[in-house]
Amino acid sequence: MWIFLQSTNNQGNRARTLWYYPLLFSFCLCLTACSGRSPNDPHLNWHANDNVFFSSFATSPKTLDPSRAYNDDEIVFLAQVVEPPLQYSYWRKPYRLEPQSVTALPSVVYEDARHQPLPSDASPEQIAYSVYTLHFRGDLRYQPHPAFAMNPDGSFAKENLDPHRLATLSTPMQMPKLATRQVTAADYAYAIKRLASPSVSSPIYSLMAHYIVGLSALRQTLAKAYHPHQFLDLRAFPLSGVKVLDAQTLQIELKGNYPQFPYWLSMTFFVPIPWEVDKFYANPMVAKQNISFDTYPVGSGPYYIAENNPNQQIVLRKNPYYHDDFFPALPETMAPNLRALSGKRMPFIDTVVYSREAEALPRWQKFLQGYYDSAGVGGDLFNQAIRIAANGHTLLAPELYAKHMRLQVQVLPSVFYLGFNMQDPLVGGTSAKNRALRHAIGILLNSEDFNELFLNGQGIPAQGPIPIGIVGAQSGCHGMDPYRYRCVQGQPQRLTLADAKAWLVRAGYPGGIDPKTKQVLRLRFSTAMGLSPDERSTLDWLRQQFAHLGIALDVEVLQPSRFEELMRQGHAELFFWGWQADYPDPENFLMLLYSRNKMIPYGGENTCNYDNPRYDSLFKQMRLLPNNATRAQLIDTLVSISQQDAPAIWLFYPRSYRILQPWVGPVISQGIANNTLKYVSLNPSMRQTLQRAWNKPTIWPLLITLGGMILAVFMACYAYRRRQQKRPGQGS
Amino acid sequence: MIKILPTDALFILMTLSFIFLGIAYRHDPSLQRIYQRIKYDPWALWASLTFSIFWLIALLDSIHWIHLSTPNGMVSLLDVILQPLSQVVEKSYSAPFAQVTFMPVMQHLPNGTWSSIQVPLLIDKGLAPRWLLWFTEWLAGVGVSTILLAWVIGYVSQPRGCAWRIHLSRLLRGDYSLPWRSLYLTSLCFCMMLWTIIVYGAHVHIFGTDKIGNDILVQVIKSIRTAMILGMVTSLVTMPIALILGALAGLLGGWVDDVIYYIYTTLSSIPGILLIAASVLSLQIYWYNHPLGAATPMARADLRLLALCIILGLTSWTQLCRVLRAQTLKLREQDYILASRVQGVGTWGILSRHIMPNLLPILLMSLVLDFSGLVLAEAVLTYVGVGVDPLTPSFGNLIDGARVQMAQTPVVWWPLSATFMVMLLLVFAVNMLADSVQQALNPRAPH
Amino acid sequence: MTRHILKRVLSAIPLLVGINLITLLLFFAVNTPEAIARAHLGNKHITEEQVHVWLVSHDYQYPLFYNANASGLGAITQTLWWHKAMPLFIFHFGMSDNGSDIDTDIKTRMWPSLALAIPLLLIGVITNIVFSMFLLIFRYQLVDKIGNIFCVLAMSISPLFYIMVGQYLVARTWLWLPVSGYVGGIDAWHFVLLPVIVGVAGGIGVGTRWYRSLLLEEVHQDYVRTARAKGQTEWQVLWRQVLPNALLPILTGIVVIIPSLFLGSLILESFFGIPGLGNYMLEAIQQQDYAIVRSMVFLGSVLYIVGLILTDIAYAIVDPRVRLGS
Repeated sequence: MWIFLQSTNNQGNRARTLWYYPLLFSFCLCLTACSGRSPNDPHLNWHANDNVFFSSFATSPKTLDPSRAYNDDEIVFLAQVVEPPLQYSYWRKPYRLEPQSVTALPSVVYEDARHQPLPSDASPEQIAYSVYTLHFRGDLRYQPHPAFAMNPDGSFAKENLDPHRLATLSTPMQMPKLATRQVTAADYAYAIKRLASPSVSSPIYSLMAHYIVGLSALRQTLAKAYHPHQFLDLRAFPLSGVKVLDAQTLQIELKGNYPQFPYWLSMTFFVPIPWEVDKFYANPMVAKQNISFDTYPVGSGPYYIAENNPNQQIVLRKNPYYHDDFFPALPETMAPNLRALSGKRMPFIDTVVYSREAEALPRWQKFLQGYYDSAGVGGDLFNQAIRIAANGHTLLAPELYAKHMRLQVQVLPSVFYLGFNMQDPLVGGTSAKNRALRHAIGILLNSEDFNELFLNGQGIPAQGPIPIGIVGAQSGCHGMDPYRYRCVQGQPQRLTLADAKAWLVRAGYPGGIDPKTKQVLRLRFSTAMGLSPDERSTLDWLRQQFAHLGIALDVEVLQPSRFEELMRQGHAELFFWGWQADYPDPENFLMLLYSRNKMIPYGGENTCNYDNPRYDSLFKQMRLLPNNATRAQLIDTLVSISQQDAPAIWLFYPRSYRILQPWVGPVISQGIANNTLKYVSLNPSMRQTLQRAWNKPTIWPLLITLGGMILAVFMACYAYRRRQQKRPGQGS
Repeated sequence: MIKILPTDALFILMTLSFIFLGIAYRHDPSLQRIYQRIKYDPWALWASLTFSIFWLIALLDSIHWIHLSTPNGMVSLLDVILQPLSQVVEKSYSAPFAQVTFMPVMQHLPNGTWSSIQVPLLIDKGLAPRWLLWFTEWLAGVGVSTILLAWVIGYVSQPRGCAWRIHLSRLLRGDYSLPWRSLYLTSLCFCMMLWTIIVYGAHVHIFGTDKIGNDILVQVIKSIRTAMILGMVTSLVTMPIALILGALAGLLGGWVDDVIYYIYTTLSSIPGILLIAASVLSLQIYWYNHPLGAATPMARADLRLLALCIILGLTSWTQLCRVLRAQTLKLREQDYILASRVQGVGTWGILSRHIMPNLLPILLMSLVLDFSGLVLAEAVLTYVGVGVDPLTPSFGNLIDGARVQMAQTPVVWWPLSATFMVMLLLVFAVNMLADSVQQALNPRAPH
Repeated sequence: MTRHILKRVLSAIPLLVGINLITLLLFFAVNTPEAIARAHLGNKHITEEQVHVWLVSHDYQYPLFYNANASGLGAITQTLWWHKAMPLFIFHFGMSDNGSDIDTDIKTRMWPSLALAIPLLLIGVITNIVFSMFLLIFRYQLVDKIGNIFCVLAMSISPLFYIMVGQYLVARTWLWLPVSGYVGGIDAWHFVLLPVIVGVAGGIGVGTRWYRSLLLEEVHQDYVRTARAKGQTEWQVLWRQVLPNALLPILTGIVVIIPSLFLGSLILESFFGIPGLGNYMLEAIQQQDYAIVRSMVFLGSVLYIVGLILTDIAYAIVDPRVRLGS
């Protein structure tokens, strides 16, 4: 009656299951060992001795659309694929712009309100317009892409849009017909127009609309013409401020004077965008396969995106049509192995494989095993990678040093601070009482300790908003924050807890008690941190610090997006915030306190909602000036205002640490440029040798497991036999 | 000033109601069966003793009063008891029973080379360890407890008129029906643990310290409350819903049954973890838009714990409801219920007089059976990011932290090991207890 | 028979409607689409207009159930319900909040999930049955009791411990297998082996006890006694008589965990970096991507219901009472 009765096996077959796994497992191990790989090699589709660079990414890039990508984790891919007109010099410090896709740095002509040219030394008030002229190289060609494969009538090649084939595709590079074309000035113009496109919603649109002539008018026109999910051919809409003079020349007209504009020209918002690709990606069948600018941007850079599987890996390959680009000639003072690269054609590496590693720990472990060529060192891992000497120097941990790994330290153009919401009645405002409270907190919050405990010296304690390496940054006692430090033997030394208590008395909370209510002063600290264990201990530490003053700190842990929303609505009281500069100019840091940038109501970067007319007027003067003594004077004044009013406690300037494997060629630390992959070289055969040496599996536990299992089976069989003999056929 | 957090109130309420129900229903046959089981089965005795100790710890940790100078703004009775352990905060990691910090500090020597040294810990003020002295102290303490316990147990268990010598040899052989030996050994184990904490805790960190130098032992003990609350309060949410809906559906039948059946089938079709995650996400947004007036971070974290209990309860009552409905359907056809129906007793009367008391064993069983699952679920949910507040001491948060520590070289193994041991002890005890209760109440259960 | 199956399939429809309603309410009743839009546009320079454009391009600009501004049928069709909840019934999940196509994502992520879940399920079931058989041979003896206590011990350990210790020993210390990652195709076993071993080890406690109790019920049946009287050895009795008869409840147990084929290995996928559906769900939770979470909740529920129906059909095929009764 039971159909299953027939399907049983005899006992011999089944008894095998117990020792079957270890045997199968060891067989598999042997199999991989014989294939010349270590059994723990995660890059099964690649070989260690190929010219492939292995790297990783933690969060999938939200978008790689050149008009939208703004975050570091997006730019790191995009900057290798597209070519902005300008780039930062690879080796010069302080940072300097140099031509990339243009033949020379752009020339600027100032005009008055009637579009009449002005002399270059005209005063800032006279300048109504500034016109930048860019002349592009003639040898720029796009990466191979199906959108360029067109029929003579201007329609796309049929083969590429075959619905059946499309449904199985995951990358446009798999399409049968690929082609290229030359980059023209019109493509750059198209990209600038695209910033205004309502379907793109570029993060820099509102800023650029403020400067580029006609951009906001274009936005109005486009908003009317726009239909969701439809191709909007931007070539048909003129933009008055951007003129294509010839195939290689572009003119951009700005309102007023904006000396920082060339910095923007080094960012990926100003790369050429071919209209063909825009049209191609607008095809719903293509979009359905997740093929769009978000995943497959098209550019003329050294690499192109061959595969973008944001959950697994992103593969970049050398762009076969990349123009001549040679390693820069370096001065005598640089290391000889670096100078040996001078004049060689870039890029050096054929393929770059970025693997998705959501968690820092597996990433780090694979790096230690030699499967990633470089690794960033984050907070949680810092302890084991880097040792802090008593004098604050950082050294590579001995076990890494023994493997000949190299440490690369970059000072990032960024600042990290504790912000006060200046619109908050308790901590904000300009009253002397609240300012005293802020000063007390400023002394209390020991950035040196914080640095040592949680950043392991990864940050440089800050005195003001401008980080080291940027014009206007000071060192030693000059530019010291007198409200938090005193000068001892030429070095700033932090004021003591007693000073903080004195400030607290001035603020009206002696001993942390509000005399009116007899209650302990209670401050609210909002954060999106606290989800990782390390951050959790940071928050504990923070509360302990405030407890020293008798202040109770309420820590409010929020989801990142909730935290942003809280900030936007101005409900925060105390918060941590970091600012990474878009370009290495003091203006980009001092504008953090400019009242036109207030978070409320403008949604700008002034997260403290600081509003001081004197600061504003000085700031407006400062930003139009070239770097000279007057400007330096203004910057100093602005910094000291920020120290005096203390809308923010400038905590530290982060440093980023990278560790390189010994087989990675010489590199120069670069804090601001993103397109540095082309300068990197590799020694793959060394990698293969070392990878094997570092990854010899330990066999004995396997043998023990195997032996244990066999023993267990034998014992079970023995016990079973005995039981059968002792009580034959007897049930329970 | 005493401050009662919502979960405190619920937990104390739960404790009191358990005591009350235990006394009120002491003649109930099913409770009698459990009681007998615990009395005569050494494992069940061990499990219930262990569980009671955890319960006691959680209870001590549930009595709070305002104390503003602490970071949390309030302290519990347990905090005061653990004060000697928690007051010394080291710089960073230190291993269990260690005398120096775990991470070496690099120092620049005058001759230009670097050397790494380990700094002495703060807890014993840099004094040299006196292991022999400490061990003697410990031994003395344990010795006294051994004798004292033996005397107490010997005295209590002595049958009237039985000579001490005979009684003693009987005890040692385990001749009595009650598992006195097991009771003795269990209590002795706890005495040894207690003495270890008392003697060694003053001089070393028994389970080491974490990254910011806090004692791991304290954190592990503090985590017990979170686990107990989750296990208990969730059932407090689950039971009334399941009981009322299950009994109503079973008793009334018809469209009520259909509606209730539909609701719980629909809910139970959604995979649990998805439903929980989605609910927690939605709740977080709701809280964001409607900020609570919770004054201290502790109170906020507590509300989040309560919310998690409620969400877990709301998403997990379906299973119990199904069982209760089936049981009610069976009971409905019993003669005495039909009889009282004929006598004109209303639906509520039947429910409260006949159905509910008969469902009590099932409720009790579900409480114990679900407990361990909830404790384990907390760890997973916290890992996923929808669990308890990051500032609440909990097993989940400890394990989450241990992920980083396990990746260090050299590996920081003690936080995970300590969590593992205490969590295993708790969950194992509860599981063994659940087994006993299940066997006591459901003798047909295959064992 | 056909009628019975048809009845079961039809009875699933109200369930699906209910689930759909629950997911819709859970997400949109507490959270406005504007909040989602702001969260996804990032924090630099956002205007109301951009929010609106985002809402339009993601089809979020409608009211929940009833559109008072639209006329006629539009009042119903131009709602979140119509645009976001209805398409789920035809497995059209639409666009995620970050702009990628959920259908395509699910299609590509399904395979890694299956590559992990199917071996995990099969090896797990076989191991558990073998272990429980072993305990049954020695039932009510010391071996059985010790085994039982070990099972309780094993199930008292958080699955996270198994994963962390397994990863630490196998991948970090002994260097047998990759720490994490995934490669499609036949090479996937490199990455799947460790999670499978860890997953099976973690499930042994619960599984062995579960199968032991299932099989024990059968052991006491008359036919077993008959077989034993015929002189079959205990092992033969268990394999030839007990196991086949216990297959139905075993099957039920397995089918009920079918959704976990896709989602249950959530933690395993995340720890071992396998880009499957569980990982997808987890990332969506962390990024607060409501579109994805909603789709996954619905998909998980549908799979569960399908599993239930399949069990029912299996019962109907095998059990003559159901077959004749219908």
